[in-house]
Amino acid sequence: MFNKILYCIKTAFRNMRANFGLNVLAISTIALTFIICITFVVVLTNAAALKTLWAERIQMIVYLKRTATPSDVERARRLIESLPEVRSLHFVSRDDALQQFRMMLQGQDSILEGLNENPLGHSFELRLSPDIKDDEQMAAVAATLKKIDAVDDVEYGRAWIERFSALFDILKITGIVLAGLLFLFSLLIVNNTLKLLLTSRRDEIEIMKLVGATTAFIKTPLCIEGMLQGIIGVAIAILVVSLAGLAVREPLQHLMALYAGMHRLIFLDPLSCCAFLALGAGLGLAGSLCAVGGLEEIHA
Amino acid sequence: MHAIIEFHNVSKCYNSTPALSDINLTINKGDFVFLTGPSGAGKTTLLKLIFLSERPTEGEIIVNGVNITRMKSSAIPHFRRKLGVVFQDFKLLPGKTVFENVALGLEIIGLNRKLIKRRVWQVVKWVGLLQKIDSYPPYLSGGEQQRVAIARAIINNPMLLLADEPTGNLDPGLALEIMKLFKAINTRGTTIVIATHNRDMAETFSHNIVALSHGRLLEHSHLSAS
Repeated sequence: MFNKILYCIKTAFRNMRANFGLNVLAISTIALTFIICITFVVVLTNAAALKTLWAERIQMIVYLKRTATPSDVERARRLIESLPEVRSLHFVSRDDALQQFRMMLQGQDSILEGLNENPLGHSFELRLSPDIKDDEQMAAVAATLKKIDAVDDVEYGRAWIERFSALFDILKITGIVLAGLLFLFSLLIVNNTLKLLLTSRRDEIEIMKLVGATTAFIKTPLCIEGMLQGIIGVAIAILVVSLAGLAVREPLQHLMALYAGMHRLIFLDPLSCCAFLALGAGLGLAGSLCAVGGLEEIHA
Repeated sequence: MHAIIEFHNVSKCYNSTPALSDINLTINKGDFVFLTGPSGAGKTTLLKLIFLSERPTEGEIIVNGVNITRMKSSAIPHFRRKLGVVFQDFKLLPGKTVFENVALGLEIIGLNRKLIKRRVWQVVKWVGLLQKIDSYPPYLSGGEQQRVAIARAIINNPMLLLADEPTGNLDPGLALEIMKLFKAINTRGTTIVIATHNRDMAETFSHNIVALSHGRLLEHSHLSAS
């Protein structure tokens, strides 16, 4: 058995060398497909991390009614603190809020000149639990908070998160569709390459059948060849994406830290690389299995 | 004598055109048989029925006691390992060396490299091509290529060797050498069935002659050795 496997592996390598041009074509197609797919996965992973980061950082501000008495405020604090979704809260009195407002309007103080009394109410600035990541969960927390008597309004930049979530979803769906189409494309290329190889080896297969080779013995090198095409193609893709990642890592990381508050970009980890290699091998195997179906037609 | 090949009322049709009709034939173990007849007589079809490249339309074929008429496709490779087949066009793999071509029959059964090497060397030496063991078939003469094909056919010590016009592409001198080789194989106990349209050559070697014409068995004669 071991000798047969060894023979099949050697034959697969030898066949790849013998049909170098066709194999280069198949490997290049797989590599290109996976360069696009891996890049998309890296972008999506970072977008997901960014979404989580922003969701974690977003504060929820609970505005209390101007009529709220100190006891109303205390009751509201207790109720808010009792919510499991709330990690911490900070009370901002109406006077502090006005002071902050004045500071924001420095140089334009005249706007507030006509105010005889403080128009602002007390408020709480909430930080939510890290489990609250998407806008749906936030909306649910906001709805709970609004039910508290003293609460006037709740603000948390929902529109912004929703927009980013929608963009992320579009990106994700586009990625899945694109990856699906590219995989199909690669599958067809591998399949066609191996069909061409099969045709070019028609005589060889006929002779092998004549000397008593089983179908499995003939198919195995072709399947190994397909898997090797997949693995080599993916390895090239990983190398290209990693090198490109290395080249842009520094400036991109600086940019993301500056504008998005994201200090660490996520690139391919060893586990993902292994998963992609396995996917490539599976793709090659699937393509070759489709192609070797035609073996039965070769009569000896 | 034990029969190694038995044909019982065997017919073979291709799209309702008969290639063989009602063949009854027995070949014994150790025989050296010639199938003769003009082109289209059914010689190749008869050989194809024996190595299961074709199935009979009617009748039964028994090889070495096994009824192969309805043998499962999955069992055919194992059955073929007990046979050797030689063709007029040699059917060698041009991209493989003499060694690799001959070793093919041993590779498929998973023999280890050491044994393969030893056995291939023995057989290639026996057919007189040891100096060409690393050559590729396109660089060999017709006679040499047929020797390689014979070496490949006997590498597994087959009980039965089938040859379809093995000297058809060779000049008379080389044809004689190849025939001597077949005879030597036969003396080691292998049953040999050779299809040839050359009746004279068959009679020169004076062995069993099965004559076919238009798919029918004309005669099965045992001529005396010359």
